[in-house]
Amino acid sequence: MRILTDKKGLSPVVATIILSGVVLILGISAWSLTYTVSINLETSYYEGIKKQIDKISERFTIEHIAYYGNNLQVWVYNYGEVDIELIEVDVYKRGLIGQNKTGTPVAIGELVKIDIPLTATAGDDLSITVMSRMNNFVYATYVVPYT
Amino acid sequence: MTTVLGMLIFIGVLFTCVIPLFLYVNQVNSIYDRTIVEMRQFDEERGRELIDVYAYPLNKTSSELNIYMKNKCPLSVRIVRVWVNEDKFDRSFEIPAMGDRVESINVQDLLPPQGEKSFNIKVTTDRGNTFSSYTNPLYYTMGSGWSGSTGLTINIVIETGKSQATRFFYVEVKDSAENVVYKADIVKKSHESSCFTAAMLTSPGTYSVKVKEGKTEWPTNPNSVTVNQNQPSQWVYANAK
Repeated sequence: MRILTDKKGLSPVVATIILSGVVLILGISAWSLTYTVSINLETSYYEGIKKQIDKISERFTIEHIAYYGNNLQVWVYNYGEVDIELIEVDVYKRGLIGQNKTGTPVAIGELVKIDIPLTATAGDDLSITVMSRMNNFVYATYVVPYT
Repeated sequence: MTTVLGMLIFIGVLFTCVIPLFLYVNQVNSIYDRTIVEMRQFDEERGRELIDVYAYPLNKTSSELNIYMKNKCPLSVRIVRVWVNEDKFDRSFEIPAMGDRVESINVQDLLPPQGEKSFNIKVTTDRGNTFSSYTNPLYYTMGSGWSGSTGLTINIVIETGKSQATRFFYVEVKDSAENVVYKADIVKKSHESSCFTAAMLTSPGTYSVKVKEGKTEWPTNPNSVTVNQNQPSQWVYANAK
C-alpha cells in the first residue's frame, strides 16, 4: 500500500515518458517528411536527367529533298535510339519562304516525308532547318533543279 | 533516453533517406555519362563509315541497274535504302568491313517512254549516312539505251552469269600509244553475277580494254573506245560467261 501512496520520484519518470513521446512523434514526422521529400527529389531528378538523355540520344538527318509542283518534299530519317517528334520545318531563301509546323512523330529507324508548300524557281538555293521537340536541329541546303 | 531515441531516428533518416538519395543520384549520373560516351562512340562510328558506290546498267539496254558497293571502313555497314532519283527501294543487308556487294534494282517503271532521262543513285546506311554513286548521273535515252556520267571514265562491266564460283579478273586499259593508264584486280564473289570497275582517265583519247582471267582473255564489247568531252563516259562489257 505504501508503494501506491509514495509518489516520490514519479515526476521524472512521467517527464521522461512525455519527452520520449514528443521526441518519437517529432522524429517520426521528420523521418516521414524527409522520406517523402527524398522520393520526390529522386523522381524529379530522374525525369530531368531522362529529358537530357533523350535530347542527346536523338539522331536524325535530312536524307532526301525534292521539289515538285510548288511543294518541297523533305525526307527525314530517324537513325537514333529514341522516338522523336519534329515540330517545325523551315525553308529559307533570303528569308523564310515556307514552313510546316504540324508535329510529325518519327519512330526509331523510320523515314518520313514532310511536305512544305512554297514557290521556288529553278536554280534557287534553299536552306532547310528541321527542329525536334527536344530542340535539336538539322540543316540542309538544296538547289532547285532545272529538270 | 530521449537523446538515444533522437540519435536512433537521425541514424534511421540517414540510412533510409539521405544515403539512398545520394546513391540514386550517383546511379542516374552514371547512366547519363554512359549515354554520352555511347552517343560519342556512335557519332564516331558514323563518321568512319565510307562506301564506294558504283551504279551501272547490266548492259546497254538493260532495265536493271546493278549497284556495286565497296565498304572501305573497318566497321560493318547496314544498307537500309537505295534511292534512284526520287524513288526509294527499301533494303536491309549488311556489308562486312572491307567487303563488297552487288544489289540489283529494277528500274523498268522509271525508264522514259521517250526522250532522255537522268538517273542519280545513292544509298543510305542505318547510321544515317548517304553515299552517292560515282557514276552519277547515268542517262537513259529511249532507243539508244544507257550512257554515262560527265567525268572521263571507262566503266567496265564483266558479266559472269550465275556461276557460284569466286573468280579473279585482271583489267588493263591502254591508250593509243600502248601505255597502261589503268590496271586493276577484280574479284567476282560467289553471289555476284557480274563485277565492275571504273577507270578514271585524265585525258581524252582512244583506249583499248583487256579483261583477263588467268591466261584467258575475255572478249570485250567494244574492245576500244573513244573518250572525249562529247562522250566523257563509256561502257565496256566483257563476256566472261
